[in-house]
Amino acid sequence: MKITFISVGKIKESFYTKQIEGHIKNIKKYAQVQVIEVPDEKCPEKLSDKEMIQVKDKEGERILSKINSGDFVIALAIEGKIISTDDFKLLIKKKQASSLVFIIGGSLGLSDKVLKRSNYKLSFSRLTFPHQLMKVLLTEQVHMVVK
Amino acid sequence: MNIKVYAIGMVKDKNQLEAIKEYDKRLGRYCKIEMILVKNKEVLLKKLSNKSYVIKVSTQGELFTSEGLAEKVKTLGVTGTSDMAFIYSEEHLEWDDHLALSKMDMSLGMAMTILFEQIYRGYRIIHNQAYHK
Repeated sequence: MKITFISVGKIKESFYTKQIEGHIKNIKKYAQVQVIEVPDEKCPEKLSDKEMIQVKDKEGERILSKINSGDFVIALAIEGKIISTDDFKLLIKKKQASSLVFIIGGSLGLSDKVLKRSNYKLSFSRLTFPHQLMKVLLTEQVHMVVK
Repeated sequence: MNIKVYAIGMVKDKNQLEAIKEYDKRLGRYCKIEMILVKNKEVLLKKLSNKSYVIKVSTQGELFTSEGLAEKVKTLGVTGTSDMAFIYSEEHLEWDDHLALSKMDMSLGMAMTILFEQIYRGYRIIHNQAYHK
């Protein structure tokens, strides 16, 4: 199995990066893993709607450039499908022959293009999380289902 | 508001503990909050104050938004509730609200981090203060 994690921006908090590293190390026992962090755009508090779309589009292009045409892309989106760990496990199992790509957007979320390219929109919760915490949660969950 | 976050079990991962501590520190200016980890349900029920507004949190609960939680904390505050207890547990117990962070299982340390982070986010929302996503 091949799993790629793509996220936007660097994570500063070491208590998060160390947890992610730990989970990735565990997932590597079961799959070939690639972790990609694409740069984020500067994002001041007050942005117009148009500027927000521009930020998401720029980040989106960087994400899309890392995706191959045959990849099965799972985008993390708050409006996505909420499923149990058992169902998540079934989904991953069904797709284990493909190259799986998980995408976590930046602080404004994912561009329409990225959402359109994705094969599955997954949501962990109706809560809004910092994307750093989202990455910890995702890698922990993936470890739980691949082991 | 006095907030207690209960769970049965242990959090051993020091990075998870550090994350919880960070939100605990940031919450200091908004409320009194404490994480209470106990061995079993009996100990938990003994520690639980009967004047607390109890929010059970499990995968079987109702999904909610960060704004919804902020609204809840705010409303309880203005209607005279001063003690809130979040109980992260799949055990059968009495509650005022039953919420779900997620339908997925997660480590206890992860759930505690999310609860602390969401309570912090809730106060930022209540006070109209910016906070990254």
